[in-house]
Amino acid sequence: MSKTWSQKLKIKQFKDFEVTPENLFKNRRALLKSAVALGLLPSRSYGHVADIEGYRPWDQESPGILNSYEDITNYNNFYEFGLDKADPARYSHTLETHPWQVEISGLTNKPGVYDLEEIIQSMQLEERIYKLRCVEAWSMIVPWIGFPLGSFLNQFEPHTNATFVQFFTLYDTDMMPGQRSRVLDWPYREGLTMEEAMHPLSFLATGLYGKTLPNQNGAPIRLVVPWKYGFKSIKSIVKIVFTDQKPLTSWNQANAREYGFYSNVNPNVSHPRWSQAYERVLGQGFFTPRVPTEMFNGYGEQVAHLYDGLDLQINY
Amino acid sequence: MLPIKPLKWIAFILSSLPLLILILGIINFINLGPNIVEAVLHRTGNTSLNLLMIVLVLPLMAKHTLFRNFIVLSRMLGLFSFFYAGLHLCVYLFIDRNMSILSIQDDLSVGPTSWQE
Repeated sequence: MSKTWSQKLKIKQFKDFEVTPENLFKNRRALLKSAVALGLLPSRSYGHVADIEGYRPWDQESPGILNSYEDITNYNNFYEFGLDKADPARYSHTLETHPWQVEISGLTNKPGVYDLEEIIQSMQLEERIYKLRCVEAWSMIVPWIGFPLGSFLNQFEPHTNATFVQFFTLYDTDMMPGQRSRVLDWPYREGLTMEEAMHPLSFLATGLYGKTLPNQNGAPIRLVVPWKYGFKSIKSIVKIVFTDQKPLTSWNQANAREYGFYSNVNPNVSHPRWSQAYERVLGQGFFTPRVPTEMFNGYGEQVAHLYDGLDLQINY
Repeated sequence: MLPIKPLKWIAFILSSLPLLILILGIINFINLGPNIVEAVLHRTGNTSLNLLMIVLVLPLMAKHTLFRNFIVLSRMLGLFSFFYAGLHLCVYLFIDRNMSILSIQDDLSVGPTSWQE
């Protein structure tokens, strides 16, 4: 008897009784779905993420081994959705990101309210593989997609006396139920000096891992400043203001002794409650030790000159 | 009222479950999240305190409720509480800080509370 094509290719042939009948596996899926609904299995919500086409891939060396999509999207600090690391992935589905508008105001020639879709279409999207160092002494490597902050801001022709940029997260207690608690003075606010904002490393991300941002990672648009602690990289931005005064930032306002305006990654300046000298790289095994934290999170060569003559022990 | 012997076995098995979950997590059989060390630290610490609370409540239960014979669990649950606290300390010293005296000293020097993290 001549061999069939699947025998020639040595593909395993399934006998009828080995194949799960369709109605059975459909039942299994329904069972799994009801288990999720009952809270027996963790649900993994990624909202409506879509593939991003036509971005320029990262062509430089990665600062480390990429963390998995699952790690990046299930271990988040986003107090608008709860204080636990797993809360944002569980509860951020209430955030509606379509349509989304960003208001630009302050010392600029082109103030106004801009549609995010149009902004994204006007920018050349690119990938940036950055290391994110949290103030809580852990880090992960994330492949962001977005565009440089500086070239975006320049479109709005900021005045020459604009020395700072302030950012605001959405304030909406229905979409962001965590804002009903008083942990922070909402909305979340962050700020950069104009020099920092114009630095080529400063980045506005609209996606990660080739897809649009899931809500828990700050959809639809967030800041990424890799040489500063993660909380500087404000999420779900609705407003950007050019100003000539050092802006109020949320964590600095909540506890100025613990969180400075600059908040550059600095192993030599401890947080008042823990050391910043070492960090745990996430996604590693149980027995992998902490690694020493690098000055400016390893981006010192590119950014150290921004702080010439500034005492970083005082301006932490 | 449950007889004492099965009661003790049930308590033993229930108190061992958190340890089983940790072991399965460490060998990556179940997912404890991307920060396994932090998860193990939190779980051992919480389990120890939870068991301690139960031990402290047992005398009250014996006095005011019908669960009088639960008092025989005091020693076992107390030892379990101590065991999880010991694990918590060991994981901190040998795994989280990797026995690095410098790193521990550094952590202690900045203040009495390192609780958040």
